[in-house]
Amino acid sequence: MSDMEATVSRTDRYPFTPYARGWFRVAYADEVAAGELKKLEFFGRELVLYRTASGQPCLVDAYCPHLGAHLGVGGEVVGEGIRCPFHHWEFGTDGACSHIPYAEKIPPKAKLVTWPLVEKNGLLLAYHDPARGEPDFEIPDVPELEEEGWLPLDRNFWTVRANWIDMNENCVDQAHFKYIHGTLTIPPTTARIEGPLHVATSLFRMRTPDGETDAELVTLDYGPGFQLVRMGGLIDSLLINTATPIDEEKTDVSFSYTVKTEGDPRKEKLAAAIVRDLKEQFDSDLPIWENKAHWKRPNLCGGDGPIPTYRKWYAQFV
Amino acid sequence: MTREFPFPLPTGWFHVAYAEELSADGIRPLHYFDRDLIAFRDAAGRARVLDAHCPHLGAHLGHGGEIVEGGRVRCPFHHWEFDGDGMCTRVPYAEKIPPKARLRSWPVEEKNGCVYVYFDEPGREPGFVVPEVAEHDSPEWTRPIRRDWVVRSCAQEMAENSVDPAHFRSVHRTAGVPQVKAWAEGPVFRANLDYPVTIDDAVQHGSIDIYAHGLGMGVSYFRGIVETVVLVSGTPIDTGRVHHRLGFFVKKTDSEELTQRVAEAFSSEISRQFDEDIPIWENKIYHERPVLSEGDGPIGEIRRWARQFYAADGE
Repeated sequence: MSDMEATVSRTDRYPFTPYARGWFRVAYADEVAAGELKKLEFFGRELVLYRTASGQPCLVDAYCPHLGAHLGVGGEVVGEGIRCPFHHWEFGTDGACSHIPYAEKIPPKAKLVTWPLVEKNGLLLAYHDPARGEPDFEIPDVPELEEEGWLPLDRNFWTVRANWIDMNENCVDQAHFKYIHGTLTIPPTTARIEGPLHVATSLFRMRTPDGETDAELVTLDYGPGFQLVRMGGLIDSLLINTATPIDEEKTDVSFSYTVKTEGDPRKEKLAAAIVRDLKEQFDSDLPIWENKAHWKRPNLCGGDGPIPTYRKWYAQFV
Repeated sequence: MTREFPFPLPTGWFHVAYAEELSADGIRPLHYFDRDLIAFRDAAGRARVLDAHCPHLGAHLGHGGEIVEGGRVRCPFHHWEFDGDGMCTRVPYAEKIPPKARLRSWPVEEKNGCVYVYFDEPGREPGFVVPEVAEHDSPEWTRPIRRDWVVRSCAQEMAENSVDPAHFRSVHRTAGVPQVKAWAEGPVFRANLDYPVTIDDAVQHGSIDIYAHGLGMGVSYFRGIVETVVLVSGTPIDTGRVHHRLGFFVKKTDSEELTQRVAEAFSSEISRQFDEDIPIWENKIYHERPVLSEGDGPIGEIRRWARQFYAADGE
C-alpha cells in the first residue's frame, strides 16, 4: 500500500471530475414529443428538455433567471419556446426571453443557459463541457440502424453508483472477462487512440457445435458518454451504450442491444440468448463497479491488458 | 442535487401549537427550528416550551414523560423533574441537584388561540410583540376555519409572493395584476394589494392588507368582496421545511348559513391558491440577484426587511 492511496473516502472515490467533457444522452428521441417537456437531473444540475411545436429539441438550465422557478415543474412549451410557470416569462430555443406578459421592455440579462444538443441514432445527445467550450468532436451515425435484418433495439436502463469512466475500464481489462464473466480464456485485448475515439479489440474463444472458434469484439468509445460495441462470431450483434452522470455519485446508464437475425427464426433464438447473457454480464459487473476505488497508480502485472492506453485516452476529457 | 437556501433559521415569533392542543396534564412533543422541543402547561395553566432532551442522559421528555405535582415535567428515564423555567427541581435518588441540570426554556406567548415561541438562536430577548387579533374570540366573527401544510421551502421565499403582483395572474389565474404597495416598519412589513374582480360582468375592487410581524406570523385583512381576516403563520421545521397554518375568520351576516357558506368558499379558494404556489416554492431556487423587470413589485424591499431576522447580520 505504500505508494498507493491508502484510504478513499466515499465522496472522493475518483481522481478525476465526476462531470467529464463530451456528448451525453439526455433522452431517447422518442421520450419527448413535440410540445412536451421533461425535467431532468444530470451533471449535478436541474435541466429541462423540451421539443417545440415544430419538433425542435432544446435543453436548458431549469431555473428561471427572473425569480428562480423551476421551468420543468408547471412550465409549458409555447410554440417555439418554453414558458415559466411562475410569471409566464417566455424563452426561445436560443435561451433569450422573448415575452413578459406584463412588461414592455425585456431585461437584456433575461436569458436561460442553453446546451448544445443533437438528435442522432434515436438519441438526444447534449454536449457537456465544464469550460463551456464548443464541441470539438462529433458522434457518428450508426449504419446498422438503417440496415435491414437487425432486431429492434432492446433498451435497458440502470442507475449505477459509480462513474462511467471507471466502469468502462472493463473494455481493456482483459482478465476480468474470465473471472467476472466466466469466459473460456482471457481474451487478448489491444487498444488504440484516434483523437476522441478509443478502440479496444478483444478476441474471445467460443465453443460452437463445430468446435472452438474466435469471436472479435470491438468497443468504440466516442468520448466518455457514447459507446458502440460490435461483436462478430456466429452472429453479428451491436450495443449502443450511453452513460450520463446524474450527480457526483450516480450515473444513468443505458445499453441498447440488437442482433442481426435477418428474419431467421434460429438466429432469433440465438439472439435472445445473447441478449440475456449480455444483461447478466452487466449484473455481474455491478457490485464491483459500485464498490471499487480507482487507483491513480494501480499495481498492474503482465496480462492485465492495455489499461494505460485507456487512461491516456480518457485524460483528454477530464 | 439538493437545493439549499442561503438563509439560516430566522429570529422571531413562531406558532408552534394551537392553544387547545396543550391540555392541562399532557406533554406535547414538537419539532421546529431543527430541534426537539416539548410544550405543556404549568400549574398556573401557562403554556411553556422547553428543549426536549433531558440534560441527564438525553431521554426525550415528550415520549413517556409526565406532568407531576406542581405542573412539573418528569423525565421518563430517571424521573428527574423540571419546572416551566427548565430548572431541575428534583432528582428522586439524590440530595444535591447538579447546577447544570436545566433545560433551555423558550419565551412563549399565548394569543389569538395560538401558542407562539420566540426563536432566536443566540437567545436574545424578544425584539417585538405578537399582535392581538381582535377578530379572534369576537361574537361578530366566525370561529376560525383552519388549514395547514408542510412545504419544502423557507419563510422568506414564501413571504416574497405577497409582494409579487405578476404571479397572481400566471399562477393563480386572476383576471388582472393587482397594484401592490409596501412599507417596512421595523419588524412589521405592510403590503396592500388592490385587485379588480369581475363578478356578474361588473368590476369590483378587492383589497388585501397584509401585516407580517417578522417572518413567522402575520395577519391579512381581505376587504371589498368578502370581509375576512386570515391569521397566517409559517414555522420553520428546519432550514428547508416550513409548517404553514392559516386561520380564517369571516364577518358574520344575518344568515348563519350564508356566513358559513362564504367562509367555506373563501377558505377553500385561498387554500387552492396556496396549493398552486407549492410546486413553485418546492422547486425554485433563490437568486441573490434576480433579473427583474418593470411591473415586478417591491421584491427588493421585502428582502431588505427580512435581513433583520437573521441573527448573523441582524442588529
